[in-house]
Amino acid sequence: MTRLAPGRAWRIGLKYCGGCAPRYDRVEQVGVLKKMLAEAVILLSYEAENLDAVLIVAGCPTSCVDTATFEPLPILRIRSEADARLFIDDMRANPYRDLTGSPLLVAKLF
Amino acid sequence: MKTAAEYEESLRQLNLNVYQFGKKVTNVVDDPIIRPSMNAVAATYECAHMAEYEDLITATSHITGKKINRFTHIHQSTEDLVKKTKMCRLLGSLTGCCFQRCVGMDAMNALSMTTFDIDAKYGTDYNKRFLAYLEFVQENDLVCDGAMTDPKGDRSLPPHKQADPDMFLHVVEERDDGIVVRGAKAHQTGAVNSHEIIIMPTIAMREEDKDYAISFALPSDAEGITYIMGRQSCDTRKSEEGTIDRGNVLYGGHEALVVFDDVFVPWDRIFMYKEWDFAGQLVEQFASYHRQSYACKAGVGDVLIGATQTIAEFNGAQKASHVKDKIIEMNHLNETLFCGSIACATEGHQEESGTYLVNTLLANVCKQNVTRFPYEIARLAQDIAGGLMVTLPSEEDLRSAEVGKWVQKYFKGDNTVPTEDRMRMLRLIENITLGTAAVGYLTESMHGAGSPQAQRIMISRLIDLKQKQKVAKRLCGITKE
Repeated sequence: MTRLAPGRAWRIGLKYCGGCAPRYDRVEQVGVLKKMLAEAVILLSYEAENLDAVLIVAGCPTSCVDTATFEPLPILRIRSEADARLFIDDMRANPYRDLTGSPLLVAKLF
Repeated sequence: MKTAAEYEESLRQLNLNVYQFGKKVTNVVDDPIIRPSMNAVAATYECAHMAEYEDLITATSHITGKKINRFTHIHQSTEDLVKKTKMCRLLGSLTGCCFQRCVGMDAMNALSMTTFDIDAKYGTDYNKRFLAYLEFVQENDLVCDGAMTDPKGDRSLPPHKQADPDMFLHVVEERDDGIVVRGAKAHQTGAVNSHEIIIMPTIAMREEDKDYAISFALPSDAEGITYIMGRQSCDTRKSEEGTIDRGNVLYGGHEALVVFDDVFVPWDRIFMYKEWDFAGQLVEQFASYHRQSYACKAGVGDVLIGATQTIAEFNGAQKASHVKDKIIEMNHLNETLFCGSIACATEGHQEESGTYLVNTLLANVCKQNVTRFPYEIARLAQDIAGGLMVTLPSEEDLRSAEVGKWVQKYFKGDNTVPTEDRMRMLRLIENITLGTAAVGYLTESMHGAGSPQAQRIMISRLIDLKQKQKVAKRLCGITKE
């Protein structure tokens, strides 16, 4: 279980897919996300240390990023603009939630 | 991995012997006609360091375990093959042109298999040499020109029967420390942006042609190598003042004739030497990989479709139903190109060497489509763009104190769009469909990685026609074989 202590921001590692034929502007959506969740989330490299979770930003539903290397961290995934809005809304509504309960979770904790 | 700036600096350290318009080019990197092609290769370095692209542009070396540029990687899975396809499309869609680096990757992957197979048959040590070379390429993040196409002379004759024996690159002297070669390789994409040149035979060979059955790698500035730059339609626009008439203001491609005038090759850089019975395998495996690589044309197609939709809007024609339908057709054709490349990657398999090879039938089908669809996409782009694309005055006229006001006035489309923007978009479409980038988007699509008939021959060899006939007979009640 990964639950945030009050007053602390989530340290989330950002991992993009390669973007061969994205159906939305991934970088622009991440910019929106950073702005809207400035208080609750610190987006870092997926290679950073002490991460609470990894956020995959994929350009299409295929989401060809290999997630195995990120386990056992909770892995969240955005595959559309709608997913990005859902992520923002969910994190703003439940800033201290258990991330494994996120609607965008793609891998379970072991 | 090198950065784009480090790549550019590394090119400045080379001492290439390059000729263009009959004169020696003293500063290759900064030459205004060559530089856009260097920019396109540099994008393969730049994107490897960008978070939003690195998942495709980088890979993990199976030799060292280090993170490397995918262009120096040997495919270890079908996922690697799929990512290669996606990388090619991505870079085409970012540059709008040929980014020149796939050919070296394809040559190295083919050699990783052929050297292994030669060793298995003859007990040679080519694969060990090749892997040492590969590690050198990966560690230094080098660009390799994969050079296959010989001038070929009289097409009806094999290499050893040519009136001029140099029509196919061949060995002319064998020494204790290596060999001396003579000949040339034509149409070499990205040759003067490369650190290394990897030579392969161009056709399957017989024993009489064994002096021509050679493969090796050399630094691109090795003594005795000369580059003669190919001309491209509208190339000198890159030397003019202003940028509008160039079409693509950032990127481009180039080809060159590469002459080997008695060039020495040390033994440790030789990967095939007179094993004539493996020349055909190397050609076929390289060609299959390279036919997969033409996913890049779907990327360039992305740019052309974007430009065509935009010019339709600038012209005020975007709501016309036939324009919408033509844009859909362009997308349909473009995604079909992508489908072929993805399919041959997904259906790939592991060879004895451990390297993954694409499905060769589907790779040939992919490339066969590439010989046709870009032409139709280009035709539709020109249809929507209108005749102004080829009758537009120059940027100098737009800037002219005397006539500039009329160019501004009479070439206005949508009143909210500056005339200059409309001119820029038309020039980009011109660039891709009949200017410098048409070399890559059209004629290279036709002949690169083998002309259309080469794929048709492969398709006929790879399909099981008898089985199709057998099923047809069974279904219609014919019981006799």
